[in-house]
Amino acid sequence: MKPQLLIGVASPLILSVVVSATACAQKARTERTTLAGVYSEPQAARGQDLYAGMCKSCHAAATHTGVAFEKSWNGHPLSELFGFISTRMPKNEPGSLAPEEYIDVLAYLLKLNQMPAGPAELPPDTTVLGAIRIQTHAAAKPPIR
Amino acid sequence: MRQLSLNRRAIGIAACVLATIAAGVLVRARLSSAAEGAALVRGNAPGEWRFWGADAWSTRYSPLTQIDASNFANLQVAWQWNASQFGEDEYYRTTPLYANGRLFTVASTRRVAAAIDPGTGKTLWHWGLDEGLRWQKAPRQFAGRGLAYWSDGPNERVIVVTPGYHLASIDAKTGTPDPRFGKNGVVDLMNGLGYPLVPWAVDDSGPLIISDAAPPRKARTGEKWDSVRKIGADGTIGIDPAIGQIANSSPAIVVNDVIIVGNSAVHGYFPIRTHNMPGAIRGFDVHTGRQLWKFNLIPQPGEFGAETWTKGSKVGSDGVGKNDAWAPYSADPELGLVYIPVGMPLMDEYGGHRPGANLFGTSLVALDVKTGKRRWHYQFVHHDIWDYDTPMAPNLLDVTVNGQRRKIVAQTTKQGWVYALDRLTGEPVWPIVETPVLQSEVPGEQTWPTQPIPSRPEPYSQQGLVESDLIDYTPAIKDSALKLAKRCRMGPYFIPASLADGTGASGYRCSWYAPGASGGVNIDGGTAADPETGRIYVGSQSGLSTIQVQKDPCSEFRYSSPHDSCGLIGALPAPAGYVAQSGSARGNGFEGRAAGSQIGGVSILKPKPLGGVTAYDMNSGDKIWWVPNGISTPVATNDALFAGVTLPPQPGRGQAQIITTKTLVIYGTGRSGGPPRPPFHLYAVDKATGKDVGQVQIPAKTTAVPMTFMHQGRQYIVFATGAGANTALVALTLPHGAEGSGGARRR
Repeated sequence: MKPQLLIGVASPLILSVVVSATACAQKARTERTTLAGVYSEPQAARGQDLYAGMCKSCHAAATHTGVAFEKSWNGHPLSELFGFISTRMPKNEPGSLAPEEYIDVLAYLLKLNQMPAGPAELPPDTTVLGAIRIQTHAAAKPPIR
Repeated sequence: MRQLSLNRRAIGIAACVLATIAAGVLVRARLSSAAEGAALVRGNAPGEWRFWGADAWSTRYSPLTQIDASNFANLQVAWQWNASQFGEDEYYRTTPLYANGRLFTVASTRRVAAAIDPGTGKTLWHWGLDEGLRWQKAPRQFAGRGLAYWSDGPNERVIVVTPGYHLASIDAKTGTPDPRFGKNGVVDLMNGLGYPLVPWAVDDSGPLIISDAAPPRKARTGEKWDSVRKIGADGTIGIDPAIGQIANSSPAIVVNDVIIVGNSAVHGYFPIRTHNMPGAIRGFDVHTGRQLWKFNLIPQPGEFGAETWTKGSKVGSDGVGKNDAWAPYSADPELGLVYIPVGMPLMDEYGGHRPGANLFGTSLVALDVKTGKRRWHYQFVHHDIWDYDTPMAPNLLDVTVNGQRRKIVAQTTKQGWVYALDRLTGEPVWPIVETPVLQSEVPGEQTWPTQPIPSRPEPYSQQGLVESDLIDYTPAIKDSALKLAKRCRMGPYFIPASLADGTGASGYRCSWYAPGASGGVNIDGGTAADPETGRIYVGSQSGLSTIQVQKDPCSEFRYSSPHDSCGLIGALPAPAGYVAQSGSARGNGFEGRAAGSQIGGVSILKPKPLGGVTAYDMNSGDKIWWVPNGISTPVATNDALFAGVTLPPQPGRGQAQIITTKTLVIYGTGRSGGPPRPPFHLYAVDKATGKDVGQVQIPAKTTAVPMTFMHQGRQYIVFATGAGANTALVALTLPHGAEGSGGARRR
C-alpha cells in the first residue's frame, strides 16, 4: 500500500478518535472538580500563612470546613467562592488583598477541606475557576445500596 | 499531657501561676553604651526603645543617626529570631522593646515573653504561663503588640499581660517572676473588676468563635475534666462567662511607678448576645501589683456620662458592652496624665440597643495616673455605628500654634482625621465643628444628629463618596461611575448602613463606606511624631467599600452586618422556617462589597494622594507631603469603556508601619501592603521632603511597626514578620566597618 492510501483509509478513524478525545477532554474540563488536584502544595502553604495573618482572627476553622463548608459551597463553581472571598473578605477591608493572595487563601481552604493538591497552581482567573466545580469528599461518596 | 490534665483537675488558675515556665538566666547582656548614665527623655533613654511607641509620648522617634540616607540601602540582616519556636501565632504583630542592653518581645498564641541578645539574636530567657481554659477561650489568642518595661536603676522589670488576662512582673535580667508582685509575680486581672469569679467549663475543645460563639460557661457542681474529649471543668477560675468575655492585645504602660492596664473585648463583628463586659482602665502599683484605682469606660449609674446611655448603662443591660481601650496608650509623666484611646460600644454596625452618645465610646480620655480620675475626654464619634474604634496610641507633641507654645495630643483615627487637642484640657487646637450628618433608615437606630469634623489638618483618607470623587476621564466613564455609585447611599462622611433587603425609606440596599472599619489609620499602621519639628507622619490606607445590615437569624441583635450564627454553640435556636443559604447568596444578594466599587477592575474613585504616608506640620496644621505605601500600582483593563484612556496608577495599598529618626522616615508596607510576592522591602524617605532615599530588601513583609536602637556601637532596626508557624523578628544593621560615627543625640 501506498502511504497515501493508508492515510486515506485511516483519516476518518483518526478524525473520529480526535473528535472523541476532544469531546472527552471538553467534558472532563467542564466536569473538573476540586477533587482533581486543582491547586499546588506550595500555593496552599502560602495561603496558610495568609490565612493565619489575614483571616484567622475572625474565623474558627469549624465555620468553613466539613459540614459547614459542604452545606455552603458543595456543587458551586469555584469562581463563586473566589468571588465571595475576594469581594467580601476580610470583613474590615474587603477586596484589600491582591488577586494572587486571595487565590492562595482559596487553595488553603481547599486543603483544609481535604481536597487533594496537584501539580499546578490555581490561577486567579474567573474563567478557569468557573469551569471547576466544588466537590467535597462527603458529597463524592457513592450512595449506600 | 497527663501532667497538664492532672494540674487542670487539681488546681486551677491560682496554682497555674505556680506552674510558670521560667527558663532562667542564660546570659547577662552587656549594658548599652547608649544608655549608661543617660537621663530619660519622655521616659526613654536616648538610643533605646523602652515603650511600645519608643517613649511615653508614643513618638516612635529615635535620635539615632548612624543609619541615614547615605547608607540605608546597605543595611543587612544581622540575625533572625524564630518566634515560632514557642508555637504558632496569627500574624506577628509585636514591636519589641530595647532597654539596658536587652531586647524584649512576646511570641506565639501563648504570648511567651522573651529576652534576646540584641547583637546575636540568641534567646536569653523566656517565660510563659499555663492559663487552662482562660487561654483556650481567650478572645485575643495571639502574641499581642508587646510588653512594658520599668526600672528604678538597680531593678528592671518586664510587664506582660497574658491572653488569659493575667498581669505578670518579670525580672528583666533573669526572666523570673518578681515574688513581691501579686502572687508569685502574677496578678489575676479578672479580680478587682467587681464581678464574681467562678469555676469554668467548656462544651467543646476549640477556641471562642468570632464574636462570642462557643464561649466557656460556669461549671456545674462537681463537674470534672474529660481528658479524652477535652471538655468539662479543668479547675480554671474566671469571671462568670454569663457576664461576658475580656481580653488583652496591647501592652500596659508604666507611668510614675503605676502600671496602667486596660482590656480588649470580644470582636464586635457578629455578636450573638446584646450585652457583654464593659471596658475598664486600672492602675496597679509597679512594686506590689496592688490595684490602686479603676475607671469605667461605660460609666455606671451615677457616674459622669451615664446619662449618655439613654436606656441605661448598667452591666448586663441590652446594648451595654465593650467600649474597650484595646490600643496602646500614651502618657505625659510630667503632667501625670495617661491618654486612653477608647474603642466603640457593642456592636459594630448597629446601635439600636444603645441609644445615646455612648460615652466613652470612640473617645480619647485623659486620666490622672495617681488617682484614675478623669481629667478630660473628647468623643470623636457619637453613637458609633461604623466600627471606628480609636485604634492607636495618640502622639504627644510640643508645638507652636499662632505664636503660642502648646502641649498637644494628636489622635489619628480610623475615620481619616487627625484630631489635635490641648493635652492639659482636651480643647481642640483648631476648631472641630459639630456638623449635621446623614441619619439612619434602619429600624430602631437613632443616629446621632452631628459628628465633630476637624477644620484642620485635612484628612488622610477618602471621606465617604460624592460625585466629585468619581472618575471622569470621558463623559461615558463619568456616567458609568455615577450610575454605579448611585446604587448605594452616598454622602460626604459618616454614611449610615442601609438595610440589605432595600426596605428602608430610600430603597438603598447598601451605603458607601469610606474609610472602612480598618481605617484610615488602624493598629497595623499609625503615626510617628517628630519632637524636633512638631511634624507627624501618618501611615494609613484609603479605599472604598460598602456597608449594609440585616437580621442574623440566630443572634439577639435586631440587625448586624450580614451573618448567620445558626448552629454555633451559644447561638439562639434557628427560627421556624429557617433555611440556610449557600454559595454567594449567603447573607444577601449584593454581589460584593469591594467589587461594587469597580468597573472592569478599575476603581470608580479618582486616584488621590491619600492613604500611604502623609506628613503634617502640627504647628500649622498643614499637610507637608505624601508618598504611597511602597509603590503605586499600574492600572490596566480590557473593558471597552476605557479604550484609549491612559489610566493613572493607584496608590499602594495597606498600612505603612512607620518610625522616624533624626533624618529619616522609615517604614515597612505591612502585611496587606506592598506586592503579593517577593521581593519585599523596607523603605526610607527624607523626613523633611518625603523624597525617596533608599530601600532594602527584607526576608518578609513587616507585620508590625519596627523599632530601632543602638547596641554596642551599632544601630539596629528590628521588626516582626510572618504568621502561623513562620513568625520571626528580623534585625537589620550596617555591615561591619560601615557604622560611621553617628550615635544617639539627646533630645
